Amino acid sequence: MSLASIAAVLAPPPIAPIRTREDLIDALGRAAELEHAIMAQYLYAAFSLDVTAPGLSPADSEAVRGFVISCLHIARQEMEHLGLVSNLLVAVGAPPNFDRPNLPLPPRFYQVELPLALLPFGDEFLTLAERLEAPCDEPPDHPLGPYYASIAEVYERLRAGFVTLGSPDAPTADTLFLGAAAQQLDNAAFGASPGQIWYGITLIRVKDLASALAAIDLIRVQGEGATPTLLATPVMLGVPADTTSHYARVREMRAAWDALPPAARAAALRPVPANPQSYPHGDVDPRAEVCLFTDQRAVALATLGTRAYELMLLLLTRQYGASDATATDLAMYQGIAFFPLMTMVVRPVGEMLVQLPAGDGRHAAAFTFELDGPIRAYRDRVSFHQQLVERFAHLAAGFAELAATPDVPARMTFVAKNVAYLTERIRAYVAANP
Amino acid sequence: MSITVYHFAGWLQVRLATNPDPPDEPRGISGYTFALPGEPDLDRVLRTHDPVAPRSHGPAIGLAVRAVSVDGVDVPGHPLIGAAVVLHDRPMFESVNEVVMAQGFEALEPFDLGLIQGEFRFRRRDYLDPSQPDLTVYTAPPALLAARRTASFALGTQLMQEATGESDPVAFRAARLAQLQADLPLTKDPVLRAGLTRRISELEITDPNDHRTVSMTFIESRTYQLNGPIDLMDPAGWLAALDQFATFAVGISMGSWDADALSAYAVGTISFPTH
Repeated sequence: MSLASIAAVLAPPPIAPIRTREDLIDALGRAAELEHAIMAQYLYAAFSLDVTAPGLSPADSEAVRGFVISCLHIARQEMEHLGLVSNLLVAVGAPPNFDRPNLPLPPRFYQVELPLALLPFGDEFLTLAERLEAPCDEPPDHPLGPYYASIAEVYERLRAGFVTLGSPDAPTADTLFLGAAAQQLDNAAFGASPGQIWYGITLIRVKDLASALAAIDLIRVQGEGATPTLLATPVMLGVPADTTSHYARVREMRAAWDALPPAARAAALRPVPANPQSYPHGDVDPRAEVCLFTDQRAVALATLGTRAYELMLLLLTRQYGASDATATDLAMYQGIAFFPLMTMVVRPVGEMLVQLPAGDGRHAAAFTFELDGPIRAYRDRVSFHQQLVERFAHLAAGFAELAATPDVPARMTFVAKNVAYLTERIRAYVAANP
Repeated sequence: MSITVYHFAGWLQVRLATNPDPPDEPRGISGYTFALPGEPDLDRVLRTHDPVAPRSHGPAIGLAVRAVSVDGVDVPGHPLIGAAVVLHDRPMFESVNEVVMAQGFEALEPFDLGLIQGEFRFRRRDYLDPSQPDLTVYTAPPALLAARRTASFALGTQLMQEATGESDPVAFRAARLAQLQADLPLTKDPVLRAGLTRRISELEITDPNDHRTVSMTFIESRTYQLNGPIDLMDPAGWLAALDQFATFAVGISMGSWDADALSAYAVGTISFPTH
């Protein structure tokens, strides 16, 4: 047997096309986890930059602010992609998936060639982001290798799968969109009308093949850009074009980063580590470099950040698919999860953590994006609401205790006050809506 | 009893971070408003006069009485026409990213209104509860806060038309963009150049459905009842017949939000019951 034939035998098989609903649900579930992890990567990079660093000239400071703006913009659109994938999951009869493993993950974890890791802004982060967002202008039915080269190929396979299962002549066409009428999120969740694009976010309800393909194409246009093949597809006519794709933005950031003087690059970066953890995790890449916090303030704040982040994900999970949530409940979940939990708790925790030491004598702490356990779907509203009150009360107590600790950022008091207020709001809501 | 109504109008400055930035974001990152290089941090204070770091080509800040009527009849030449309308004590929009109230409907708090014309001074505050003057948006009972401070919200171009003569937000922003682009090659100071560049990059976002553009048509209206102690210095007796035991109604509508200049246009009325 020749070396070539041995290699051929040992090589993993190519990724198979999607042929069944379960294939589709599994692929969508992995896409959700990928989007979720990539969102965390961009947020992490944004938190690592210091726009007001004293060593920056006005022009350099604006360049750094531009990096943060771009990273947060892309992160919001990764959240949107997670939302769109959730709509797709619900539409084909599955629950949403807001769970994911902890980071870092090794290459090929999701059959994507690349690793997933929390990296500070800089060359390594930009290289990883550029490869993940890289366009693929192959026709939708081109054969895949054993691994996806970039996220674009993940969606190519999904798109082809929807076409296979949902085209009018397919035997599954009539039953594919079992969950078309179930609860999904669209632009109204952010207070916008369907035509308004607020915060760079466009959410499309999925009810049939055309809307499913439009959702996938929107993800691809925003991510990799409007490639000729994508623009030639019929449903793209209904998708708002995005001329500032993630790929284009990452390349712009790369050029601007390379143009900064070395001293400005050094000044702009906070000393955050790669892959911070508040405690060791068994589900991460054992070969990757991690930074375990030992400073007790950092551990305490990272833990509170994780709790707030999990709470946000639980609230998001309750907003999708069939459940016993009333319309008032859904409005309450939406009124808590995005604003203010995301913007008034999770983000400030990220911004405060970088002001604390990690404890290793070298690094600052940073948001860990850890998940302590699976993000489950709670189906009973009474039980969920009781747990919501308990979780908020624990958060409020934790922030109050930390705010009273010496040498923590002054902003902790503001966050503690807001979490306490939210806790009472939730308590009052639950009492008034048994 | 008669009602004297003072009609006021003018531009305000509000240097605030916009959603999804948290309200205490000092420089502006993920929203569409920013503290530019060389400018102090954003502070959310609504200023009716004496703007901080006013921007080129922005409107002149100043809220003033434009007309006076008594029981619906105009009083041309009234001595308080032209009086400065002042909001004291650093009022701020207090949604706190929906912690306390919904965006667009949130409290403007505190509301402590003054009139100044020469030696004349009037000042009176609307307390959420006069018996508990220290109440804040955090400590007031939510039902009281909602009842006394919820704004009404509408979309429309009438305030923008009145303030700028333009009713198309896209055209307004395009005109400002052209002004700044013309200024850029003439601007050598690196701090000013960096600021101009940021403003230009924001104005280059021309999508009519984007927050930056749509927000020019936001109109938020609020009503108040001035119920605190009256602080009056009235040497000429212009308010001699004022019923000092009554509460005074104030209505104020704000719109034409110019995110580039961090300014909004306001119109409103102050109603004084007189004997």
